[in-house]
Amino acid sequence: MSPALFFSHLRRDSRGQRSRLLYFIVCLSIGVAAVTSVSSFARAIDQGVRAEARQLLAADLVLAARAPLPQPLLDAAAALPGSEQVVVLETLTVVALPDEAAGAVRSQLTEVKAVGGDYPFYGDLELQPAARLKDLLGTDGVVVAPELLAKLGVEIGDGLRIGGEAFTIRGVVGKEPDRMVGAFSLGPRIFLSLEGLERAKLDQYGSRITYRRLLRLPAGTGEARLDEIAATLRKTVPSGGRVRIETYREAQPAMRQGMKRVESFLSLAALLSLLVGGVGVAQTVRAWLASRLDAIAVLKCLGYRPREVMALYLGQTVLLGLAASLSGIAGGLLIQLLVTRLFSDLLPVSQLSLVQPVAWLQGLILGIGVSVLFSLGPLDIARKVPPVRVFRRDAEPLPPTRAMNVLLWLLLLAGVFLLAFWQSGSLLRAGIFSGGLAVVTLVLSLAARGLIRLALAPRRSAGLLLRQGLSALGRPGAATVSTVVALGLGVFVLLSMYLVESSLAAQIERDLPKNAPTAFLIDIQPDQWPGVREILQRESESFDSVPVVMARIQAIDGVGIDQLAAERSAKREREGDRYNDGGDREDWALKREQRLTYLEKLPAGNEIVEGSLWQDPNTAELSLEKEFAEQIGARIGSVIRFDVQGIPIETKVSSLRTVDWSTFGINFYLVVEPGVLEEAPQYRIAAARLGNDKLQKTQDELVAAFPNVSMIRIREVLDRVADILGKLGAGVRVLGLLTVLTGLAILAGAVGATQVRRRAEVALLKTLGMTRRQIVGAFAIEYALLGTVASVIGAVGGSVLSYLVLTQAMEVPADRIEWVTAPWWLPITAILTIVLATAAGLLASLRALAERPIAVLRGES
Amino acid sequence: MSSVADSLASPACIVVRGLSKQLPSGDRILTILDRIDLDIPRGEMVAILGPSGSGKSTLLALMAGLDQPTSGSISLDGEPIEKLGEDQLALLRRRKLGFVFQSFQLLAHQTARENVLLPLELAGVPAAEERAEALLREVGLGDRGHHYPSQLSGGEQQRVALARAFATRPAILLADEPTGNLDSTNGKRVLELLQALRREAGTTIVLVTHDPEVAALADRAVHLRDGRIEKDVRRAVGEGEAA
Repeated sequence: MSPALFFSHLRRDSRGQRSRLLYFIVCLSIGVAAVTSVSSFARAIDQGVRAEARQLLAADLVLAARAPLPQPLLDAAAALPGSEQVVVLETLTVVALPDEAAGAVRSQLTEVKAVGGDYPFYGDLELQPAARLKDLLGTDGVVVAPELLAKLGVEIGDGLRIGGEAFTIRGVVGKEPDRMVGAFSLGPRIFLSLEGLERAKLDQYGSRITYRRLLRLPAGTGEARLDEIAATLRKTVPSGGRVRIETYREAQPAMRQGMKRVESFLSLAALLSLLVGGVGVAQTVRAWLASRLDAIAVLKCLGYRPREVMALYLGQTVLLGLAASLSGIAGGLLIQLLVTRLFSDLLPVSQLSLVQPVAWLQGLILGIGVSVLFSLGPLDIARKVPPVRVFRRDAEPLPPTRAMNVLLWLLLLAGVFLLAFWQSGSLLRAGIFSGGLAVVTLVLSLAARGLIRLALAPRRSAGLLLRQGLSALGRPGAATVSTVVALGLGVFVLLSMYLVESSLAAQIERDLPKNAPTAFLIDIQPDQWPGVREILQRESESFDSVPVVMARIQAIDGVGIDQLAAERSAKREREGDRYNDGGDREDWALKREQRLTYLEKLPAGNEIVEGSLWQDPNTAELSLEKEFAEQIGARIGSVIRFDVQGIPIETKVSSLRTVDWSTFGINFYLVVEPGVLEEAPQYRIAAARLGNDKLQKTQDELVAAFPNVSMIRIREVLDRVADILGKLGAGVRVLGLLTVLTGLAILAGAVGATQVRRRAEVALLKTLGMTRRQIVGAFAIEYALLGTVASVIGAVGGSVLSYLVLTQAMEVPADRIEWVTAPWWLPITAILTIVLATAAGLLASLRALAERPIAVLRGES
Repeated sequence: MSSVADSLASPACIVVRGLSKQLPSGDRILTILDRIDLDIPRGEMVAILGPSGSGKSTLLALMAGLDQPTSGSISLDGEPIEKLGEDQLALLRRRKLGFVFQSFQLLAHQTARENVLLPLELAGVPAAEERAEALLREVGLGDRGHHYPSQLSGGEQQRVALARAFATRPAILLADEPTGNLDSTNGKRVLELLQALRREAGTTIVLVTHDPEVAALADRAVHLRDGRIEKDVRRAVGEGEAA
């Protein structure tokens, strides 16, 4: 058959499909909308970040480190012809009101940014009053975030003490270019000049200063030249992650990587609603072909070959998939518009482009792919319609052979796996996703089959309505299995997402252990400790303190850190995971600055699981947290060489520990035997349990006596984490909700597909004397039964999954998960689902219910 | 019976030998056709008669290659068909067979013209459009080509079906109760058309009916009972037209 002829036949055969079209589109387009909106968002943000990269970096090139930048690098940067530089230092500090000022709250933890020169080179700094930042700051001025004014009850012109020195508030800062909107922060921003920073001595004690140097290259510097400059600068510093040299061309690699991870997860959630839509597709195609059996038999009589019949209907499926995908893409656009409007303050970039052809293409391919994948089974029936049906109406297509069935299921599973891989970019995640999906689907379909068996079993004792409702589930073409699977999956996804997220939030919200500290004190200099301890002894219920020595790992068992990192990334590449979180963590664990402590006895909540503590008098021993040891690839006996601020120190791993982090006590991955690090540069940190009434007072007192000591309140940090988690969770819940919607659409569609049969049934029942109310009751029972099975399995499955995720992946103790001890969610979910399912089913049967008996019995309709 | 076939000058167009069809029914085997031998010469119009359940439709279905016999052989226009695969059978039907059914079996979502066009296009006949128009005019529906089956009366639908069946000038036309769903006036009109088209194309026709009036038009009446040929009566030439 020529393509032209094929398409003309396709066009003719697709007539009269309008009602089918609508249902197909509803089922599939919800999922396509979910998929394209996630992908469009990720792409738009990525494009935005790249387009605004210069503004987001506030420079062409940035040098950054957690220690003063090395001199050779600074020399090389200074030697760049025509370039300009700005120094930026960032740290944490507690600022205080001057002694003479009144006010209940006298101090506040802030994020300090000290800038010199013409900061920022690119992007806008929103300042009030409108002036140059440099001019506002002078040597004794500060510019602060509005929250700080509110918290301390001060205004522009008032004084502040930083590091014990006096400053004057000269202005208020809103947006700043190189700080992400909605990013996690420990306190309000405060700007001061470099001179001011020096005067406050924040650069002398602070252990967590980030040193940055912003560079602006001469106008017209090409991108190739920029890369060349970055490469030259990189050569001046030893690699190993100490100094970050970032150009705007790389556009926030860490942030984009983080986005990719979020995208990978959300894409899978979106794919799920598309796949549930696929169940609806299979159901529609099946019902559609069932109504075409006669026509197919005629086509075969007239000389259509089986493969041509298959192609004819596959072609129409593709066309339907195309239409559904297009409307899904339009829907995705709508979601995007809404979200951009609603959450504009959370987005990292100012402009998001709605035009995302690649995401649209992705939606199109996924939509059509799912249509084809899910209609292969039903289409196999079209191929097998016996032509003799033109003589014998009862000649039904042979059911697929067992081998064919197995093949079709394998094909479906392989297809789902491929789509999941495409969406998530990870073989592992794709495997877990499709495996988990297969298990849940299997359980749901087995339950549905059980329900059908129950429906078909003879029942004498059941009441009339229950009997009617039950028997309807076993009626031919009732699509009980696919409805239960679709709806159950929807409940499953929504509930598990909700439970995981709300438990995490609740965990953060409430489950602070009774004796947990409420504040951490950092940057206590050794000579300040007696004074700080005296305050803590007086004010706190309990406190604890350890020395901290900053160091970097130089080598493990003689292998340099760079070589180790290179070997690992080569290994990961071989294993083919595009975004492997584990890999990033390993690299980070290896290369970051480590906090070491030395202790005679381990804190409570630490348990030695391998080796023993400080038993060998001849070596400098090291105790590692077990998972950290795995990440960096160390075991008992490994020799780890540290670089302690320039001095190499070699230690031997002699014990591995597990740590109960949920105590919120001070804990370390790395603990060194006493007697090794005592002379190294160090500071102390302390954890204290302070009553709510004492928190502010203690901070005020500390800042007055020890202005460089910062106090971080755990409650506030946890609240911020919960807030960010809540915002992410809202997005995930929307996707879960879309899946439930698809499930309901499928239920309504399944009811719609049996419309003809239902009308005849209603007419007959009315003729036999059943009242309309009784018929509605019988129908309602039918839909409620579907909803019950789907919701119970979905809810139980969702809880099991959340339980596993929480206890295994997130290590939340089971007795801390509230819904495990008080499972009120089960009845609520079940009742909601049953009500929704019944409503959707009854809505879809309205026409059948309104049927006049005589019309159907006469065959008028 | 073989003597009947031998007596004809032209070679047989349809040859059926030892044809049996059995179907499982519950735990026993139901014999629908029992060792049928039948030769139908080119151009002959044969009526197959018999009470319901005698195996008429099954015989027709087997001749069309729509169903597989349990044993025996069939050849159409010199080609044995029982060994052909589904695809080859489909191609054979395109070239050689036309069908008319009791329930018309027009494709509901295609217009009258498109229904007629379909076999022409499948067979790759040139100028298919013109031929379809001509055929519709021939059955008296020249101005109804754009109508869908649901917009046509039963008689009109069956005339479209006739146009479709004769479209490719098939060597063989198989008809299953072509007038079964029509009133007598429309039935008569359809039969007249069938005769006219047959004369024009020289088609061999096998027609299943239980209507004696329809059977009277045929050159020969084969009576089936319980899956066997009970009676095979050939009438003198011209008797059909006279009736």
